[in-house]
Amino acid sequence: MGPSSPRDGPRLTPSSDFLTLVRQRERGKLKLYIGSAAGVGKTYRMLAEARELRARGVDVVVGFVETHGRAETQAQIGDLEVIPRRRIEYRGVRLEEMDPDAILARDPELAIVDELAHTNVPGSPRAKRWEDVIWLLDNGISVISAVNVQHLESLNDVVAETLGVIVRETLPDWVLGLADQVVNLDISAEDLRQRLVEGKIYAREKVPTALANFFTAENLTTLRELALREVASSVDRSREEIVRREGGEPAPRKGVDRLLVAMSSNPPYTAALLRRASRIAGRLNSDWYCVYVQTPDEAADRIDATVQRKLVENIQLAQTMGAEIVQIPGGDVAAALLDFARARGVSLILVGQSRRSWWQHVSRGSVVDRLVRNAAGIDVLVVSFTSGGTNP
Amino acid sequence: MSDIDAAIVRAIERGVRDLDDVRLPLHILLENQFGDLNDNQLELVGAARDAAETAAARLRRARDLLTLQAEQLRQELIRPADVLASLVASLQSRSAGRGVRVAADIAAPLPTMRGDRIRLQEALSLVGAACVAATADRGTLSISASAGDQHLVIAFDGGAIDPAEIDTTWAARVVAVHGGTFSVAGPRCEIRLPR
Repeated sequence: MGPSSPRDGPRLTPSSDFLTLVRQRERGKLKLYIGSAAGVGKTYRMLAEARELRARGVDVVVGFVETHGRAETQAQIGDLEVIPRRRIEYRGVRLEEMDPDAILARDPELAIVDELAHTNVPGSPRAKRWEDVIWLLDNGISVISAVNVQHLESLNDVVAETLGVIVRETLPDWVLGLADQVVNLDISAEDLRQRLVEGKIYAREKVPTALANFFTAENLTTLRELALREVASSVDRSREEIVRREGGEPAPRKGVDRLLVAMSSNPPYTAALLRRASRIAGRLNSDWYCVYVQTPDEAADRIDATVQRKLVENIQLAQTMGAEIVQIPGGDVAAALLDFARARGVSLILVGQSRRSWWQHVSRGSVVDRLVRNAAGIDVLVVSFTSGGTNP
Repeated sequence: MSDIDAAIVRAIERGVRDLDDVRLPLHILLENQFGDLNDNQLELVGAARDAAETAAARLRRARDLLTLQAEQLRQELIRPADVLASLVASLQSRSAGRGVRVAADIAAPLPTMRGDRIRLQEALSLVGAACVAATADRGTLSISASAGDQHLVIAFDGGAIDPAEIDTTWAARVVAVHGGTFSVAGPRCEIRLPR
């Protein structure tokens, strides 16, 4: 896989330039549906999920879906926005391919991209669809995709030996490892063969050949076992084979991966900051604290009622997102945050970009500046927000 | 990039385009644009496409070797333990058919580090796959990882891999642009990445 182009200017150099880090667009998330064979319902499920997410306000497009003439799948596309395919003409033959540039130009939050192991039409910017998907992720677009287990590279030999089938389009296993979530659509061999007989997978004229060759009960059972095993191994991070040096047991978690989000009393973007923190904590599988430093000006008898109400709302929001809420009294917000972070082994502090004026910066300093300056050993992520209050 | 490197990159890209004229007809035939192929035709055309795809992939890899720069990398928090757990699992799948045992000795806890997660994951997978291939049937590939003051050290001990092979060279390049080192000595391959 070659390097891909950044959307928002040059990528970060290996320096600790935090401003550059903040400006760097967050990588998209990848969710993968894995199944034992064609017809288990991966595409249908992806599209159903796309519709659910759209109903919840997520900007979703269909980047590429092949319906294979299945009425159920076609119906699931419904009124979902479908990005037109790229057309390629070669000696009078017309070919179609997913158009990643068009997806990027449309800039959705999420794209549905089917058949991850597909080999692109020669002449495409990237050789494989999974490379296109990584390119979309690199450019901040999340992707839901699907693959059949026999396409996994590591299973190529096993599939060839046990099933007598040579799978030419393969997916490197590390791509499966990139997925933030892997879902195995498990269906019994009998049910799958029944779906085939009913014409729900292939056109009826192809059914007898499929039943006699690839879709035998034995093959499907083998593939089903492979899918279950593969998903289990990709999800289970504490397999017995991994011998840990410290007593042979997984070491107790230390604080190096804990995250802290600094919440002030009334910033307009606290909710967005909390969402960002929740996403990062989820990705790092780490505990996170939402810390509010109560300055003397914000003592219970002095705080403005509107600010107080907003503060309570944000605390409740943080609780629903799984944060541990901590309130600390202190005159120096940055120092209080850093003391707490060090005491609890926090490795990353998230803080919203300062909204103080230039003059306030000069005369009173900025909490953010002091955090960055004094946070030796702790990473500080300064999150900037657009005027609309949404995440960058 | 030097003038010579730039000229090599242009020549490689021209070669990739030339190869497209081989790959396209094969792709069209395999997409059944002119009807189903019989089994023999399918096997021959499929094998030809595999060879063409491999050649194209090698050319692109060579181009990327010359063009990859540190500025193109993301700097994101990485949990090496997760990356290695995923790697070990996939290598165990890959090696099972040949009876190769993949044993992992991962120091706990490994600290988080900064880097381009996807490229490092790819690089480690390429090295791991090469090591599995180089390990004798029913042999053992040992993977260890530990953290020093300044470096994360990942070592593969199995069969001797060819450091000049294009995928291994690419992995070494990815490690190098992360500020690390990549070394092969006999059956041991060692990667050191800055913490």
